Amino acid sequence: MTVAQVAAPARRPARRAGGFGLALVAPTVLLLLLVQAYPLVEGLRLSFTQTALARPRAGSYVGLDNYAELLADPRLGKILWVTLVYTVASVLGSLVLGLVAAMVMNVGIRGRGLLRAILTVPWAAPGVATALVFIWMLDSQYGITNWALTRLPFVDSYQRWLNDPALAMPAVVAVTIWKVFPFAAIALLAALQAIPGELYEAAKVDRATALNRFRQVTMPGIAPTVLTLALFLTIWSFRRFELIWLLTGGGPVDATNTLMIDLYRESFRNRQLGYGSAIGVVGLVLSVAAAVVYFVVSRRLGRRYGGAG
Amino acid sequence: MTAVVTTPAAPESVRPGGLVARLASRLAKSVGILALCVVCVFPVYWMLVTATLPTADLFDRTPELLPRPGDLAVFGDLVSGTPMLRWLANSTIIALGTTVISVAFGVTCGYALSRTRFHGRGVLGFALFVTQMLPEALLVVPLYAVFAALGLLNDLGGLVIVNAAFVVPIIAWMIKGAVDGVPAEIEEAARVDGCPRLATLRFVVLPVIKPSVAAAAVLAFFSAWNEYLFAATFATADAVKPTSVGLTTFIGEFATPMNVVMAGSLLYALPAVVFFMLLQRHVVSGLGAGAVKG
Amino acid sequence: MGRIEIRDVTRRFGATTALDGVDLVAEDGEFLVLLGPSGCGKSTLLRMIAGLDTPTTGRIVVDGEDVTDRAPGERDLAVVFQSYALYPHMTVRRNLAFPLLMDGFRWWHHVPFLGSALYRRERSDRGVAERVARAADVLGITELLDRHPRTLSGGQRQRVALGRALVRDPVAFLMDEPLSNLDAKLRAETRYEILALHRRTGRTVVYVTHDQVEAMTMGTRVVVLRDGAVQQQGPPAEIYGEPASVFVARFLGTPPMNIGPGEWDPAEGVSWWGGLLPALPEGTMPAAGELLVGVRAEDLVVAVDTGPAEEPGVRGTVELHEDIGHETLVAVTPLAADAKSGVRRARLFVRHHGEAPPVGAPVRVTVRDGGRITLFDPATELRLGATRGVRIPTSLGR
Repeated sequence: MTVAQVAAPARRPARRAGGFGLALVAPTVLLLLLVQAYPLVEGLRLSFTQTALARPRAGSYVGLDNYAELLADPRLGKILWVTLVYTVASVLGSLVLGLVAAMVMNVGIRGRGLLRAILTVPWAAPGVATALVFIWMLDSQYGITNWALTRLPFVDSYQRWLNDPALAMPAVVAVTIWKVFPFAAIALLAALQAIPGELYEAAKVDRATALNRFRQVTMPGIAPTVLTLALFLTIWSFRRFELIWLLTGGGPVDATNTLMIDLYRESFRNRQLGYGSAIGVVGLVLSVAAAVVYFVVSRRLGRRYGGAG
Repeated sequence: MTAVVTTPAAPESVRPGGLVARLASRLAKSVGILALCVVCVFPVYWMLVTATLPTADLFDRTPELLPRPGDLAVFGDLVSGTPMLRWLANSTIIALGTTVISVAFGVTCGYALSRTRFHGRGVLGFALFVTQMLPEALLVVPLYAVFAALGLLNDLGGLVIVNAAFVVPIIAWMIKGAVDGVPAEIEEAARVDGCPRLATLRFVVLPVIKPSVAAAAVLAFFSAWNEYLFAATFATADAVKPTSVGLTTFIGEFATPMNVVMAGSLLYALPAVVFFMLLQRHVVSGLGAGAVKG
Repeated sequence: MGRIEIRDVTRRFGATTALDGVDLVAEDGEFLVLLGPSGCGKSTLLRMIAGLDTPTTGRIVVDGEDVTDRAPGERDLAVVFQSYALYPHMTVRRNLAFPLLMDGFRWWHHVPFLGSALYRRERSDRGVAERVARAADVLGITELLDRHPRTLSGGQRQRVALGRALVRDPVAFLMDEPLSNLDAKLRAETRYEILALHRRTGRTVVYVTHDQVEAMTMGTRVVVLRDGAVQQQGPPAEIYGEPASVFVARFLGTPPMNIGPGEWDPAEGVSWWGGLLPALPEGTMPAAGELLVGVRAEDLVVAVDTGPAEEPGVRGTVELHEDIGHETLVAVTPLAADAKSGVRRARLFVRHHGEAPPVGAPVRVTVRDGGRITLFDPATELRLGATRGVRIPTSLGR
């Protein structure tokens, strides 16, 4: 074959396509830079300053003082413990309840669509409305919860659900699970339905017990979904603010004072933006650590189950 | 309200022991499903019940379990005695603005992520995922400083920008998932037919992924409608308070009786609940696609 | 009108080279078929003509104009896609009209709610409506105009896709395996439809396929591609009869050409599978030595082996019959294959009319009188020359 003519490499269309893509993402990128990236950097900067809420531009650099103060603060241990308890309890509770709900829904049901629609109610309801109705339902004197519980034979006293340091955390976790588990249930239902029925039939033919079928067929089938869900639920729990804030405000006696609540209190109640930001940075580091753990675990499980995560 | 357990076509010759066990398990499942529905719906139902009670009956030791039909006096109190209508109007404006911006941005961004190559595409995709990890409570502090400098505090536009920024990443992922499912040959056919690239997005791709766009719009609207933290921090003036912030002013004050608060909550929650119930299939599957690929 | 030149086009995707210095011309009005196995670069080549892909180096020239850097819509070419690529949200009428409507596209059509103005001319503009009606009439899809693609059968969708190409009256049609999603019967029908379309419009057609039957029956000229390079081009009969390489010989024809190890000795002639062939060399032959010998199934004759061992022909055993109605395909395993080919199981296919020797029978396979024998270089697998079978006055003649 002869070379007809020497042609210049045609670069233009490729570059034009790149420009087109960039133009399409530019508005989003600018928005994210303004509202996510810049505040993130600014938050880092603020954590090295002493800044009053009233004059956010007029802070003075104090180096690592905020972090030193935070680490020396005897409350820090309790805050982290409360955050951990809240996160673990609400994630585990949502996953377990969600899995139970999904398995109940996965058997031959007419009107599964309706059931799924009903399951979206807690998830769709605004956090503020949720908080208000639960404050009313958990009211120590007139709430339906206490009334209903005292109908039971073994309960005879009214409880101050949101005002008792021992009960506030369980109450807040319960409300959180109510709001979150349907999301887990719907995601897990989709995963369950994606498992081919033949696998169960094959397992039955091989005389696997129900428990064995769950462990050998169901578990590997839903493992990737459970993992992804666990990550998202953890991140959401970790950063959850409004539900806790409105139900208890972090009280009573700091019993529900998670990192996010404390951060907001320091910044806007105690009006210390610098100290509040330092708490936020610690929180961010912890959630990044959680994500890293997720990726390591999911890769390992992915190798075990094949193609997970 | 409840779903019905269907009878699987049972073979005629059933072993007696199996029959009892099967009936028991079916009963257990029915009870489970019923309990599931009650748990999910009860709080919303309780808003309705409380909202229909006269104030005097709120403090009965034995609560009434059924709503009293026809009594709308409480809603009258809500409209005349509280700024509920203005709150709802503010919420609507914020939510509509958020929807327009985030859908426009999310669709273009999601399309670009799916179909074009440019420098930093991988980085952007990862960045969209990372935004899901940033705690709002951390960003609210520096954003407060930024918005104070820009004069965006107590401004509906400022809340639109914030809400849009937090929902755009999710929408972009949803749209990317939807566009991934559109055959590339359709777009190539349009290009051969002389359709410019942006027009291809507008006239060929967009109509095909309309359900996903609708789901994204609903998600955007109600994420802004439901948002509390930024609104509570940035909208302190009465004129710009949305419903979420307005309703929380009732907490801890005793002037407004619970039936009025619950009526307000119901009015506020109902649109979100109804729309999500209607569109849950699209919203959830879209979110799922975004989440799984994220 | 419609002369497409591909000048030294190379396309690389990262480290892999999809096309390697391809030079090709589709003359005006020609039905040019690009034939090859999947991954040979034929679709990439078509996409580059259409402008959907860009050559790494090289130019695409249409009617003397270099269109390499032009957008697909500015090339006045129509493409029929393998998946049809109909716009699912538009009626058939709008699908057909869409390429015509794009002339009227203005920037303000992007504004929400004003976009539908783009479709106004679909009925109001006489030119558009008439052209759509005519195309629909030609393809017999007038009754389908107000339906959506998802309600159509595969064959109907295929017609709509052809209609959308036809309506534009382009200088050339580019078709990318347009029949591969149809069932066998529809495929045969649509083949004629496309040929009729070609005859009616007189436009150039560049047609990509991996199906050699389509290539043979449709093309005025066939280009065989392999690994991004042209193996051979020419009229179908020439490619079938005079394959330039072992690859082309095996790729075209059902069953593929019988090719086996042989020897050439100017004194004795050509031997194959250990048996001498009744052949007269023609063309320039190399000096004596090993080569590959190829004979098509219709050029072979099989008969029960009765003669002495020295008689010409390949001795073997009938392995199976494939009766396809008017003829029988007889598969013969050469006796020499066992000894020679630890390499691969060898089998000779012979087209046979009438009663074939029974399975298991010892047979002798010879070349029909006048049958073509093609010789290939065993190292390069390229064609060396050909020879023809001659009548040999023995009991073997039919």
